[in-house]
Amino acid sequence: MPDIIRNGVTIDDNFAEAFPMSGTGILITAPNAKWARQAALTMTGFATSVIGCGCEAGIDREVPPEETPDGRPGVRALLFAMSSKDAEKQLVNRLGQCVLTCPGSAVYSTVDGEFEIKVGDAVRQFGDKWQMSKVVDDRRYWRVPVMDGEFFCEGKVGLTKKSVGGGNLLIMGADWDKTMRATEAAVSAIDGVADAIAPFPGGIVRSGSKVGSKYKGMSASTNDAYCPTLRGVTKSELDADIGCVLEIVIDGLTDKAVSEAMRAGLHAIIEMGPEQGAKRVGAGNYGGKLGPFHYHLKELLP
Amino acid sequence: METATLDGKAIALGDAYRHAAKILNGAAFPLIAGLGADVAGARAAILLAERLKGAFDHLASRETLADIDVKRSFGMFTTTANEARLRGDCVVLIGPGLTQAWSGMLERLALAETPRRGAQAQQPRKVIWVGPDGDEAKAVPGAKVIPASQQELSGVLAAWRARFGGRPVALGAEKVALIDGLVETLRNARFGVFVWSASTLDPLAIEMLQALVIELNAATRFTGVHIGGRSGASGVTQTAGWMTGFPPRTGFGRGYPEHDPWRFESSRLVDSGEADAALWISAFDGEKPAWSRADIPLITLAPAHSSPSRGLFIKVGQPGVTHDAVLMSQETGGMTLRRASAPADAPSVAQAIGAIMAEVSEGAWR
Amino acid sequence: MKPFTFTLRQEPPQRVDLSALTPDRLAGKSVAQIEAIEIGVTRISTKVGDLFKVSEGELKTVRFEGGSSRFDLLGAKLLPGFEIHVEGDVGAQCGRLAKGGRITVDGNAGPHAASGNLGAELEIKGDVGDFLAGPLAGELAGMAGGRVIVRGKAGARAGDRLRRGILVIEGDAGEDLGARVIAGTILVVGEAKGRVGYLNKRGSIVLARGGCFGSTYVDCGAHELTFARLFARSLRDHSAPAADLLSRRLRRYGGDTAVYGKGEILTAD
Repeated sequence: MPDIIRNGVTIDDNFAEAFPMSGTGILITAPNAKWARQAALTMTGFATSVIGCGCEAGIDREVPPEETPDGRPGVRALLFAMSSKDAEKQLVNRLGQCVLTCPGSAVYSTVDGEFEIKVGDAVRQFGDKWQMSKVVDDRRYWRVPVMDGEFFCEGKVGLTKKSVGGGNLLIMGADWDKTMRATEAAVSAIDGVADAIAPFPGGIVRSGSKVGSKYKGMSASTNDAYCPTLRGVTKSELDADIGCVLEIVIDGLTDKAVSEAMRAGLHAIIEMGPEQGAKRVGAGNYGGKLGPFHYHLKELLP
Repeated sequence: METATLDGKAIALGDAYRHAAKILNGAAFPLIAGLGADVAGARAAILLAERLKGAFDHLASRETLADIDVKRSFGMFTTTANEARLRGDCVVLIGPGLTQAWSGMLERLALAETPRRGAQAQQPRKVIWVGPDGDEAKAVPGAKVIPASQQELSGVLAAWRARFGGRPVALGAEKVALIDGLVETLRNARFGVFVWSASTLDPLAIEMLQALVIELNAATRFTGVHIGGRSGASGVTQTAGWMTGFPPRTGFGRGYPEHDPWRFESSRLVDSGEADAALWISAFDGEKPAWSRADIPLITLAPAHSSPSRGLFIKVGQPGVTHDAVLMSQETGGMTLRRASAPADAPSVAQAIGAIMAEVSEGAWR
Repeated sequence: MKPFTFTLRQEPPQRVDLSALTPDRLAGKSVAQIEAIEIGVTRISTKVGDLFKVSEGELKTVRFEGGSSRFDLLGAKLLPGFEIHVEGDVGAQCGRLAKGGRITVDGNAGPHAASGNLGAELEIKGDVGDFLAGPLAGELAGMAGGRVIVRGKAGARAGDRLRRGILVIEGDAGEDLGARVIAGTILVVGEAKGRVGYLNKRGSIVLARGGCFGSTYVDCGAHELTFARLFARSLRDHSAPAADLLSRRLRRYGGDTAVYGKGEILTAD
């Protein structure tokens, strides 16, 4: 494959292979930004990969008070799963355990999907018949009395089956510090893209995986082709100048959100250049036969 | 005493009927109001209203509709006064003026006697009276009196219901204890009866009372006796019901009955000028119309003593006094024939309206 | 494009039923056909042409130049997307059972305005009669959706058996505001006289001025309520005084405890 070079960074002529997912999301508001963020962080915790967590979730963006329905600071969190049923189960559980419990929080639907999750129906019963329903501008809300006042929660949250999960970038650099610098820049650029999240810790995954394992019953195992310490003993994808690889996985409510997020990340890495940051950027796929969405890096270049 | 007068001057009865027909026939929207009549009189009056495409209202509709509104939009447990007398082991009288609204109440309910049937037969009857008028309750020996003004009644009933359901009220501990004791008495009744009159209890308070009855019935048996309105209101309402499907305040302007307690309220119709002629019927006692306007053509059917100085007056007999009459009986809760106590030959309301109807040109407006 | 307009020639001597004059029911009719519509409710016939000069226009909006307290059932069963505007008064049951759309009345409205409203927006610039948004005799439930803004005062029993939706009364409210309320929200910026919220099940009654609500309303303290903030934002463009009221700290009285004790009266603290 002929390599492409931009600002000294080598871009693999490769593509990210992504899958359809069910996506949903909520806007959480609170009396201040700290507690809105806390609720969102808690709700999106342990949600890095559908394989072990049931869903992938993350913070899309902070929403200023002028833009929230109740005029309080807010945070938009998105949640993705392999089926709408999984998404509903995960959202309802996380709402009940992480947002209802979080001081000061209120919840609004923030996704206009083809489907709806009746989150209010599940949470309102916590009110033990003291809850009150309010319809404002054709949307139903629940007021559930709790110990710091009222938990205010929209009755239905939108869900779309047109979401995409598994957009990714493999960021390769000389050492951990430089690779991390480039990857952090990419994550922060992706943060600015609406409708997309990077669900791994701080948006970054260091344990990229391949399909299959030498052990029975394990469906995925370490991506040895990109492990720098195995460069000599395995069929490596890495040249001698690469000492560290980090990956960003991206889920988005739409195909476009994923490609825009990958584009933003890629641009940030290229802009930083190889001296400060990454030497090379690649993408992960399964040969193109498993996932219907293909994001070719060369099409996302500046 | 003349049998018919026009602006206070005697005229022949035949002329009076013809004149009445002319007035009603010439009106765009005639009103048959008062409607203080027996069943036959009410039948004739409602038929006339239908013929004329006018409206009819009864002089005690406000009270009648207060009860009916609860009945039709909420539900109502009631029994007859006889049943209350026979079985009621706990009788709660609500509000002032009950003996005025129904002069035979105390005699019929026999509150001082023990109930004769049911679980508590021969046991002393508990009688409670909330907010009686002055000395009114003295006529019931042993009655427990709970003082309350008429304005306070609805709040008293609300507090009872709240405490019956074990819910809090914003009252001091002493008052709450009193209410709880009272509520316990209600709960322990085996056949409890509330007695009220819509002349002193507004429809919302009646709904509150009936809601309490429903809740009491989950624990015991409770019901109510409502005292009907004056001037034959209950019988007229029944009659209107079987003739039109509606109680009074019903109009036939479009050729079919339409019921609207606001639109067909007689005083509003007259004072707004929408009714341009009125037939006022008050055969029991000659009660006068409540409207203020005096410039519309008015025909009055009333006993001799109430002859008005204005408009057309036709003397009618008193139902159950000068002629036999079918009336709704408060005592039995059914229609009964009341024999004339002092027969006289004045026409009944039904006869007078029949004579007017004979002069109304049939089909003139169809 | 100019609206479809009915210009009043003279005050009708009797009440008239204007329920036929909504945009969807006028559609496809010629001016002559419209003028021949019977609107009288007594044995004296009254046709549209007797009362109004009809000028054609776009049937998205119907405009009445001149009103009357005898104009009953104006905008009844109005459908979403349509508008009716009245330069003057209207009679009973304005907007009765309207499914949607918008009705604005420059003058006063009679009793039972917005009765059985299902989703329309009504704005009455003057006063309204009794039973605002209430059920008719014998009906089990009142307004079930929509928003009603009254700039003036309301008569007795406003919001009777309200089931859903928002009522704003910028002036005073008569006796028995919010009686038998099932759910929904009522706001009164002026004064509410007499009994308030008797037999209230789960409704919210928001009052600018506090008072004594009887023993079956229990003080639950003053609070900052998130729902009120959302409401205030939603109402800001429709009624600034109501939005201001909702932006204040509100004292909550739980009641009517005679029923479930799950409704509330909120008063500006």
